[in-house]
Amino acid sequence: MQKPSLKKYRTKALFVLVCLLFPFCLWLFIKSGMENYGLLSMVMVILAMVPFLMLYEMKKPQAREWIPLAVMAAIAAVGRAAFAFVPHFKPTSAIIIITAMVFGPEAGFLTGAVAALASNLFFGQGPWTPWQMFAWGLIGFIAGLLSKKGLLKKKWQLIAFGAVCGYIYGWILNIWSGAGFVYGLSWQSYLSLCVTSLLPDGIHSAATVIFLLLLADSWGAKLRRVKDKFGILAN
Amino acid sequence: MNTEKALKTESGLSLYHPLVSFGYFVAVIAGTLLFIHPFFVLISLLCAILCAALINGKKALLATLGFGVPMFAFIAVANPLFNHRGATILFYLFDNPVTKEAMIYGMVSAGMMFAAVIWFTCYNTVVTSDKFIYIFGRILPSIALIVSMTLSLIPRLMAQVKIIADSQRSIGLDWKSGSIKQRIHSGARILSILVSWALEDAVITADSMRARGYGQHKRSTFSIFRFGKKDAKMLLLIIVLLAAEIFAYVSGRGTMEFYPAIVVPEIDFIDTIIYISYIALGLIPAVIQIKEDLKWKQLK
Repeated sequence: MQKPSLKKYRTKALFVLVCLLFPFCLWLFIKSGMENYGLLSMVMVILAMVPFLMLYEMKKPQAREWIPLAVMAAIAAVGRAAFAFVPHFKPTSAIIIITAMVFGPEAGFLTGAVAALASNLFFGQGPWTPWQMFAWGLIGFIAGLLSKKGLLKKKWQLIAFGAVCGYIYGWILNIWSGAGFVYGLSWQSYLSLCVTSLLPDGIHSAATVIFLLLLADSWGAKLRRVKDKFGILAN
Repeated sequence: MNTEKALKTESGLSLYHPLVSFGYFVAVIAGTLLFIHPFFVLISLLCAILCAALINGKKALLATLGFGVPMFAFIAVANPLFNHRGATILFYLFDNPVTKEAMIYGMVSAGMMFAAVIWFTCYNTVVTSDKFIYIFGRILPSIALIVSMTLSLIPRLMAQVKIIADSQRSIGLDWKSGSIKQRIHSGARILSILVSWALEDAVITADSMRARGYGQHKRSTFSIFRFGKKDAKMLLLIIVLLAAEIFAYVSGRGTMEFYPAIVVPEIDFIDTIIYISYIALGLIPAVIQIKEDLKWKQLK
């Protein structure tokens, strides 16, 4: 009885904390009168990840709950490295989506964020790491939510979502390029960045769709089998 | 070659406690991203290049520059094209004014990004993944463990792929031969077998971890790092220099007016101290490295 209430309380406290931190940081930046959007956006994106990571941390997860996610994150990272020779064509998003569809939104976020962080330990970390973690985490989270609502069951839904993903990822990273490089970030400059990245994002989307079509059924079945067989993450 | 590299990674700043080396990069990269000011950017950029030359070697630095210089040029050019603020109009391009202020700002922000990228290459050499996990294992133990597990899985998965591919070839399903359709099919089979194997293996690992008492106590790490006197001294130095940075930022000495017109600020006594402390911060890894090299030569 006591446990869930404590968890609820902690979650609420955390929620309030993040809600307060966001405007506080904004206020600090406005107060200092500096339009250093690169730094501001960096702080924001890191803050945005905190609740996800903290919630997971507070659960004190059992080894069985997260090791399959580590496996999927590793496969996503290997996939990213394996296709590194074709620019923007990577199976990572598709693998994260499949994992999220079986294990749920929180697991999806974690898999995406860990896959980005771990693969960057090979590709090289940079100011882009938090953005990639957030973008892939968000794709996993949305995929998990949609799947929970039964919105990714049909083939066309899956294709549509996969096609959007490359753009979600690209547009999130464009915030960074725009905020980091261009003084006085404006809608026009952001939009023109998005126009220039239409093709790379399109390739990413196409890759996601192709890999989803190739893998979603068979890998989904495998993941579900392992989940049922060993009773993993059966909430 | 290999031993040389191993020696190289274990010298200079790498020999300090992870908290010190990680703290150093937090301080120096934060400074780089904070100050949009030509002097600060120039200091950070030059220090970063010097440190990268000493820590990563000249070859790696040249590779970074080969990637960084075009990026620098791109950002420097992109800013005045996207951004039309500023009082001094140089010329019109497609009916849009190109201003001197936007041009200079573009160069400064490009230099800032360039410096940050070079600092990150130093970070990648000094703060290896085991150190990163050691630090985050205290704040976020479960996340750190997942990352550590993922990292150890990557080479294992690669090795398993080879084993699976070999055994598939022995039963006539070589992914390197046949039509493209057949090859994609065989490739997908390999991946599919890999997923099944990896997931079942993961469950076994999890059960084994539970049997050995995972989650009972605080997790220990493989690497033993000792926080000694020299670490404390260095950390103190970094904190003092970081405090100077924060002071500079809060008091507005780290910023410059770019728009509508550039105002070159006068440098007073306090500014001089701030610049010196910023240079000192940027040169820490280089100084440690040079000191160590000299000692090494003397002992030889």
